[in-house]
Amino acid sequence: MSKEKIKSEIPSYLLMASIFIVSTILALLLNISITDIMKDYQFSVLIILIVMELFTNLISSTGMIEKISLKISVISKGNKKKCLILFGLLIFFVSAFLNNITAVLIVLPIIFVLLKAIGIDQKYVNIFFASILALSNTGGASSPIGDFPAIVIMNSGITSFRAYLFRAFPFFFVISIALITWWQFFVKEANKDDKKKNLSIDLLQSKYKNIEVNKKVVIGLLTIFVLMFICWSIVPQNIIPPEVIALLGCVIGIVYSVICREKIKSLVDFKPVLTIASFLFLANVISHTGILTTLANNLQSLISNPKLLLIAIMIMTSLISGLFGAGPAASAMMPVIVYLCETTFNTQSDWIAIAYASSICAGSSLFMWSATAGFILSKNVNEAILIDSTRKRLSWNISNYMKCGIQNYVIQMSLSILLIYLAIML
Amino acid sequence: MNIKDTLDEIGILETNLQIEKYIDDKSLLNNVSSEIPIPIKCETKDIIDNAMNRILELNKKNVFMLSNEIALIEKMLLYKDKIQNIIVCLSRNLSDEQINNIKSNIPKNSNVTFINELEYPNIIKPKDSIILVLGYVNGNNCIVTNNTYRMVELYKSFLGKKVFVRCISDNVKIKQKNFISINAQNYFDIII
Repeated sequence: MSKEKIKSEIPSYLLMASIFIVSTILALLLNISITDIMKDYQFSVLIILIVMELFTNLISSTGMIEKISLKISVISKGNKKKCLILFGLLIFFVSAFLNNITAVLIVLPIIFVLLKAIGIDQKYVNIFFASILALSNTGGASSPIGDFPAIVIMNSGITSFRAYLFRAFPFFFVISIALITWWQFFVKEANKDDKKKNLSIDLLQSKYKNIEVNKKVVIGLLTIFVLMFICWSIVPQNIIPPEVIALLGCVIGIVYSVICREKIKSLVDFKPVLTIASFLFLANVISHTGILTTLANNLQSLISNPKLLLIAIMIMTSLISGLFGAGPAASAMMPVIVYLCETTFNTQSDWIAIAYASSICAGSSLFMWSATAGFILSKNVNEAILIDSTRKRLSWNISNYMKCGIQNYVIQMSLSILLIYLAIML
Repeated sequence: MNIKDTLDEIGILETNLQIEKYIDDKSLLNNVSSEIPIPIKCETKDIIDNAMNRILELNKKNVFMLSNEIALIEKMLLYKDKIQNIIVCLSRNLSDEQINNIKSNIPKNSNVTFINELEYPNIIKPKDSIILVLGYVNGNNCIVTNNTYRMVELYKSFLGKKVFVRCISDNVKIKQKNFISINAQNYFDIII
């Protein structure tokens, strides 16, 4: 690792260490047993996170995602609206089933080459990457293994794998379509130089013309993945926990890939895993203080109407997610949600899980720092050296995203409240 | 459209093959020619075939290329019995992403290996190997990219045949940046 890279990583590791230290001091000061905290610690969430990243590496080694991205580039013919729609949908579907950060990072190189080829401006960069960020969040929330908050929900016991999947996937798909529809209205095709775009796409194709997808490995891995999904859906968690199914599936996938002589990228980026581990620890400590149960009780007594109570919790969760990040929000608010599912909403816990997931998702689209993918995406965009027709360098950072983030939040939040209201009414 | 980066990743011949599809679009060609010399007729396929025949006539089993030319590499891979090793030198100015793209874009199970600039491939011997350079010609001069020129200087002590392939049949006058004109006789033994 270079000196510069180590220097840039220090603040994140400092943050993790601080969270662990502060949480431990808090627990000791409040006389909370660390042993008890660790008994309730959700190691299963971390195992599933690590295993799904390994599985994503297996899929990415096959070249399948690059090939699909290239196909999209050709189909789009450099049309900016088509690029937005097609790449947006790709990000949604890939994020639903694979680690969303890894998925975005695989697709980005082809996106950058295509954007450089078609001629873009700052407005398009803002819209395009705002959509990509929001859609990686909605994709991640649409399946029980798509992202960290979804995994936490699945492990909490308030809903089952199948109940979450059958509700969340169409729910977040509708929200994604709404987001894409909204943003494509703002895309204008100023440059009609089709031949130049066609040449650029031909050159892009040449850069990837010999990338072969190992179809045998892809089919095998997809089969293993489908079987994992089936097992998660039908095997009760108390007989075979989901993390064991994930681990088994991943190990079988690795063995199969090795037998098929596929080179595997075996590295796992432990920084997000350790960050989440620190959030989980802090959330556990806070949960053991009882403050969250008190908060839930107070909310219930303040707002007697269950529907208004749900909306209030959704807004509160989304704002916590927006301000502090999806990870901390998911960990911190989970005990409140569990308590409410055991009391006020005990007959509708499946939809409450979706409401909770959608609030976290909406919040994580509010600011660039709210989602883990935000800063990673920004760093990659700024390093890609995108330029406009006047050769001015284009960037994408917190201030560029602010206006788009608010729109993403409003669309996701309002649609979520509406759809949940309709679901509970029906 | 960054043609220079494209040249580094796929080579002049492959780039010309794509440009030739738009040979009738004068304004597009004007635009592209501000960055690289371009063919004015469809001849790249013949150039590749001719280059291949001439390389095979030299009867050497190792070819050391100073740039990544995927169109020519794909042709050479059809003659694996005659050309047993293709070594491509990667310029130190390439980004990690470009290097990754270049390496991934070689057909699988091929006899192509990569080395970094400043390294020397051990299997290259004067009796069974050639150094291959691609570019343009203007009279007695060869025109190559900056990156290629640096490598031509680096490996000029090689005692075997140094072969230059001209990618456009006509003489080319440099008006674009990032190209250097060098005396053909000082650097190359054979001009194809």
